[in-house]
Amino acid sequence: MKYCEEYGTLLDAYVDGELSSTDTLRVAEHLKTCGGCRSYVDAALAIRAAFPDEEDEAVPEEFAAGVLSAVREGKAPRGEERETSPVDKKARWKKLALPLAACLALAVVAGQWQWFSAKESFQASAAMTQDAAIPDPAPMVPALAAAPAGEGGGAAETRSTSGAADENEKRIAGTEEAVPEAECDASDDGGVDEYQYVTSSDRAENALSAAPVMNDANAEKEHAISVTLTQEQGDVLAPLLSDCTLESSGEDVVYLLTAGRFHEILAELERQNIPASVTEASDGAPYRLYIRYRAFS
Amino acid sequence: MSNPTEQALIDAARAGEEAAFEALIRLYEKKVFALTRRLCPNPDDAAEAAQDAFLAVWQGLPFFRGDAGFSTWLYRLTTNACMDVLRREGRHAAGAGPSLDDEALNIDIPSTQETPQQAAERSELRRAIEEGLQTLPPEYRAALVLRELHQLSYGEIAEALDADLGTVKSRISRGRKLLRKYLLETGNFSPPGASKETGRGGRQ
Repeated sequence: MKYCEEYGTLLDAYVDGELSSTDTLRVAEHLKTCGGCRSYVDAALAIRAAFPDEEDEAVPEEFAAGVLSAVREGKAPRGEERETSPVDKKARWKKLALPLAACLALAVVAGQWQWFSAKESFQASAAMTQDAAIPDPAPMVPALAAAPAGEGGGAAETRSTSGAADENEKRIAGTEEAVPEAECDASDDGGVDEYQYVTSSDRAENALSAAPVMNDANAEKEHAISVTLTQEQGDVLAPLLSDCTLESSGEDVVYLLTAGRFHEILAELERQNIPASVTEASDGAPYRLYIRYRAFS
Repeated sequence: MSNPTEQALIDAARAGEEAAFEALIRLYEKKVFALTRRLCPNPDDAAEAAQDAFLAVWQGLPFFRGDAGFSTWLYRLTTNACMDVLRREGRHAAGAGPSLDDEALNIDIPSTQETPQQAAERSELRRAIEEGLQTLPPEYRAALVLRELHQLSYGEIAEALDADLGTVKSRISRGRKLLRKYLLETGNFSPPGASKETGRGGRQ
């Protein structure tokens, strides 16, 4: 028996105690007469009852001691131990911002979603196809110019390789806003150095907030699929994503993919007729998927 | 929010007392491992992320304002640490699913008042849930684990994942539905209504 469409979205919040008292009563009343919804709630409670418990976590005996000795070794320096003041973001930025390419790349990507959400017409694949049909001889980001020109044609509906310059222009338009806040986490800094410039709260803020997050100086040299999905469409992709590396779990979800998975996802999107923006880069560049989910009703 | 003892530990650790910090680690290490092990299926990565999370706590404590709860902040640092570790590893994940033989997943549940058979059933369902969690997209998995294992509210999960409330609501709902589907399809749930598990109710 299936749960009803009408109550389906309320049942989880009901189980989680996240409904208003009015809605809680409404759902409780409904459950008396609806076997489908009741069995969903029962299943949710059974999952909860059997859910893994923190008490089952075996933590290595020496774990806490290991953290403390790392602290003593200066792996998490505080305040005056830092090279720069933790609040001196400008200094940090200046220091890290020097490789212009890195920051341009970052800004380009950071601006991507601004463009992405602004350009609603992106959803119209017809428009996208039209864009793609106009060859642009001077793409602004070299790596995108390197995208194999011939390959885009076969799947024009979802690919916008030759429209990439247009896209980049718009991405770069977002640069001004994106740069000051963006984390420029130069990847050639070792893991330890990272702590010297970036406070943990910075890390927390930056790792999750400015999406999509990039920490690669060659950020523009990536193969990227950018797509806006409904939750249902997300479910279709779910089996392809479970073993992929999640890089950001904020509003914009970012995955690092293998080349194989990249093409599988692309194929799946095409099969589902879901429009996506695709950029391609040279061999050896990383493959990423950027997902933004539509608002949940 | 933190209880008085915990608050005292937080204050002392913030002031630089290592003993207090160690006590804080011991207070939270299981919860942190519970999260890192499910986000980083490789046990070494999970341990590394757990350590990084606590190092970030040590480093960030002087600036921790306490307007979010300590635990929520810790889980946020933990989630970030997991993603940092995975990114650092450049882990190209194809076929890198979790090994079901991993010690972390091979859970022995102490039975208290349950009969051995009930304990076995629950243990079986728990194992299936672990497997099912690994079939979920990680962002659904993180939200569901924070809800069911860490027992965070939607608002706290939103803070921990830096997502908005609607997104969290949706990830939990979708994640749970996918998990339920997995359990039904793998025969780990009896037909609706006939489940023996249902009488047990929630944990809280």
